[in-house]
Amino acid sequence: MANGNSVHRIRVESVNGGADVRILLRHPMETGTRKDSVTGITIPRHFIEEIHFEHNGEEVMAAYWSWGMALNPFVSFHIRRVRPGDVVRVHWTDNKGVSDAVEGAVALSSGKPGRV
Amino acid sequence: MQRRTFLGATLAAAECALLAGAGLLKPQRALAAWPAAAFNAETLDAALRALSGGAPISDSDAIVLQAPEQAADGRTVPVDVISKIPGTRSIALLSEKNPFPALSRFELTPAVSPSLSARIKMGGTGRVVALVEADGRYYSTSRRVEVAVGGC
Repeated sequence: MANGNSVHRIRVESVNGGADVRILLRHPMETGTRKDSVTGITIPRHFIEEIHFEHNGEEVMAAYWSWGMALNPFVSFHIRRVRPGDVVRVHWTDNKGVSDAVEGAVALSSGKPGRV
Repeated sequence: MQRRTFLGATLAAAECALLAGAGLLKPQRALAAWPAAAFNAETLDAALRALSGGAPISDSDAIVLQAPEQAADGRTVPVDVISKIPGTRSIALLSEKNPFPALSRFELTPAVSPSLSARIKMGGTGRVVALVEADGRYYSTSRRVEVAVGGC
């Protein structure tokens, strides 16, 4: 579940009645081809397979990923229509079956554009 | 620093090649349509074929694909895609020179704009491809990115 101490980041910014959403997740996204520099042992493949993007509980986008997405994945996208207080939640599962999530709310449109 | 970077790149490339054949993925839960055939394909053509289900793919300039002309570090390359094709349902990203070129497939609903940004790994200099599915047809565009240090 998402929590206040999450290592993952989400920014939801209102833009013309919609919202720009940016997420930055903490995940190693191991390809399975790297070797540990000390032991020489191959680091097993470990990557986010599936990620879901929800607006007020409704799925608006989903994605399937390979290990070819970058370390600590970043995604930005735009939800067409939102209201202040709406909740954007992103949750994902990796190939080890570990799930996590992050969520943010649509603020009033006074905020400065910012970076995740 | 230069030398270290170079050695790292060489090693990474060797590892990419070494393990390119190892298909270690397990089948997914019933709910997921994780596109195993596409993600395990080892050439760009095979990956595109798997993603489109063999349907023809037209070049389209109605897909705007932005990526840097030169990427210092292939481990993280920013890519922006905007599809101007009506009825866009999915956007897939591929990188020609990766051991496994298919990287992701985003499935969109009409509640989101047909545009997204993400960061990918690139194994070497080559084309980044965006594949768009709209009304059951497939369209693609590509851009060449020169990668100084491969990131697979």
